[in-house]
Amino acid sequence: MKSIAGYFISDFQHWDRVDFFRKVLYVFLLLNTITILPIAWEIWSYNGVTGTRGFWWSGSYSLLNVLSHPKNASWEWVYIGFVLGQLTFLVLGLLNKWPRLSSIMIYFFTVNLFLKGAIAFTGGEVLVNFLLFYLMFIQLPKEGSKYKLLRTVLNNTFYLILLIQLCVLYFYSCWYKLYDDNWLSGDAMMYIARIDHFSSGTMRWLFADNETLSMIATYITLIYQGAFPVLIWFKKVKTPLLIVGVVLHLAIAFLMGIFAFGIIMIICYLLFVDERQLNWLMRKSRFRTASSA
Amino acid sequence: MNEKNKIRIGFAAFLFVVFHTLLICIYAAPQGVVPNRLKELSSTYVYPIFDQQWSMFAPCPTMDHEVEIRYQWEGGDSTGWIFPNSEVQQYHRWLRGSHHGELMLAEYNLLYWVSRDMSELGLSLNTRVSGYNREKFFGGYSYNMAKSYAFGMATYLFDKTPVHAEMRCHFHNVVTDEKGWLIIPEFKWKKR
Repeated sequence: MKSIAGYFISDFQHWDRVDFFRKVLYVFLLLNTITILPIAWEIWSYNGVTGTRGFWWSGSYSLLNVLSHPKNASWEWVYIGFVLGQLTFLVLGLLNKWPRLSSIMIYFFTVNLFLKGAIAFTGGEVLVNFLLFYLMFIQLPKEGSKYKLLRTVLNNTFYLILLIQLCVLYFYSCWYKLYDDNWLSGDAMMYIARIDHFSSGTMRWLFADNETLSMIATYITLIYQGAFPVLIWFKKVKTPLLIVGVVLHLAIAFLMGIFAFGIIMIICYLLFVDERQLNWLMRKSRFRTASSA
Repeated sequence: MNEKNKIRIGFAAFLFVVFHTLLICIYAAPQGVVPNRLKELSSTYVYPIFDQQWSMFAPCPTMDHEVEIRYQWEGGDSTGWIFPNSEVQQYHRWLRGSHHGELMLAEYNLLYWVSRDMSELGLSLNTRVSGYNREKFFGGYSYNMAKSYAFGMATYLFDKTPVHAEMRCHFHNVVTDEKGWLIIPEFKWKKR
């Protein structure tokens, strides 16, 4: 019990990693929102393409679905406030201004925007909602604070939950596929390549009529997703595993066209890379942590 | 704070991690793996903040879908049947990361729900939803979604609000090569 508890009460060792991950995620969200701006009305307005999820007063549901409130039908400018709010607090968060408030507001605005436009988004945006929620609880303790222990426990707890969440994603993603004959037979990639929405010229050429290549790609996907939750904890295989993951997710982003999802998953790998690799990435990006700012 | 209390706090944190992980695992598990009662209990904690289903591309999608819409405007003008996403598709092919990806996903997800309603109502292809099925379709998941989609695309493409629209959903089974369409109940909007 002592050693288990010891993990949670010992000083938080991963601040640089989490801070870098948070900032990269914020940059992605900033760029993502900016690219969606041409169709902001279509995605986020009450009368837009994505419709509404329905609204009812029920605890946290109401807070996460503000843009689905019927009042938005006549107050069409509300979504603009949410977009501007998200962009503003993303910039503040990147500049390390009011980090606690920024992380809360980024979560609030982002989750509302992503849930409102759910029909146009993917599991990647769902994952981002969780990541932002957990990140709210990982903050740099103030110098001399009497709540340092609480802050340490929260940081360690939610950092672990972040890692577990990604493993849960991969585990269930694999499990659900095992119920489907097309995945088990190795034909899944072949059929997906024939669907215009999830394909490209290259993907069609590679997989649409090629049973062997399709089988290889299908089984690599299944094995990768199933093995990730286990193998990621072993130093020796971690790096090659993550390299395979990066290739897989770049293929999802560029070959399949599910861009946001592919990039989000690659960003999440920052939580798992070796210290040396992390330091290299931070040096290359000239990143300064909030603690050194 | 003394060492014993610190250990207690640390252990409480561990129990919270176990509790949180267990409940999201129960909630996200496939049907039939955990008792429904347990799933309902887990949803009181999980939903909506941690609402998650990771059945992405499972089952494997085997339908290539496309939407065709015919709009009527105030004053009586109308478009013919148009594929609202045809230009979006062109851009999406080479401009990955742009907003065209979201519009492609919106179309695909809409038609996924239309096909779910089709399946539940036992509708066949190459028909118009009519009669008793029409009323049931109104109450389905996809009708209102389709109506919002049609309205939103009218604004996106023409910067105009329609008063009437019809939607023809094209389905192509990429496994059997079977093709067909379904015309869903029409949409009407009040004149402004």
